[in-house]
Amino acid sequence: MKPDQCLFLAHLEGAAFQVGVDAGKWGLSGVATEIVWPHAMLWVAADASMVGQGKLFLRFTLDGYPTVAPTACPWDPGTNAKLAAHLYPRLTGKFNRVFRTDWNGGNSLYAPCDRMAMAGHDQWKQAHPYWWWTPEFTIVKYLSFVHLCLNPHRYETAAA
Amino acid sequence: MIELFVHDANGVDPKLIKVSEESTITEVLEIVVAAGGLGGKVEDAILVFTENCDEPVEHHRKLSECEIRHRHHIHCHRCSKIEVTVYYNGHHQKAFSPATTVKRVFDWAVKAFKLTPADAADKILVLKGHPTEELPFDAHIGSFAQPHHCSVEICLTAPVEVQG
Repeated sequence: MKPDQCLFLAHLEGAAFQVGVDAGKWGLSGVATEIVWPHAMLWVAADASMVGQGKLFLRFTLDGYPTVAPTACPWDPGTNAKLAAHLYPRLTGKFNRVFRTDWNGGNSLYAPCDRMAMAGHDQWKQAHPYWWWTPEFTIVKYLSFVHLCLNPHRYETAAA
Repeated sequence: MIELFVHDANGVDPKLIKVSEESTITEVLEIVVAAGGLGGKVEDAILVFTENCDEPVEHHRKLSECEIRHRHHIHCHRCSKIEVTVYYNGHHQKAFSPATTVKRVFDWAVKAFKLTPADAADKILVLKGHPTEELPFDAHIGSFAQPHHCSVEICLTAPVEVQG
């Protein structure tokens, strides 16, 4: 097993990832032993107004992890193919462009922690320093960002 | 055996340890120390809290007596309270247990600054003076206060739009 895969699997077993699993925020789709590297499918819980099923599946490409940032594509586990464009989350506000279907064929998220989007967006390093991928990050950073984007109404009770 | 998430002042991410559910708090601390935590020794000065609880548990108690079960979160810290100052347009201050989740601090800050749900939706908390360090909502506020410094200053901030 290559070091990148070893580290990814270790991070899946780590406390930071497992805290999110326990909280129902994200999880691995399938079992770790069946991952066909460098791809792994994970899901992130989503507000039902964003994703009808309440969770968004992402097919990650993780070669070089974590030195190289991950990239992820919204995925349909039923057909094992890229999610149909009309099913991509429709976001408003500051994250409205994260799930673009008109950029890079919708094959990756338009996010400061996604390797495909980072290329050519050096200005994001200053604009989004908490999400601009660095080798010290783990997959939890990417998942946390997506969870933030997909759950905009989580503070309503607190703010009421 | 059960698993516990153990938070402390030495890092944001908790440690996942395995213990007997009949272990005492002292025995849990010994396991944490054996795993390299708490500066290498168990001291009475180390207070142990369950998540989002204000009062520490007694060291001689068993986990089961403290209703600490599989995959529960505990926090080990020398401070009984963390004085949290949050800056936004002005500042507010409140003391929290070290085992208070960042999410709970965030919820308090949202109320304190009277933010609407729409205003709160994309806000995050970062350490004052360290704008690249986002505070994860699942983390404990005590993890951002040094062991002998029972305070932390944080900023409620609005990330700019992802565009370009």
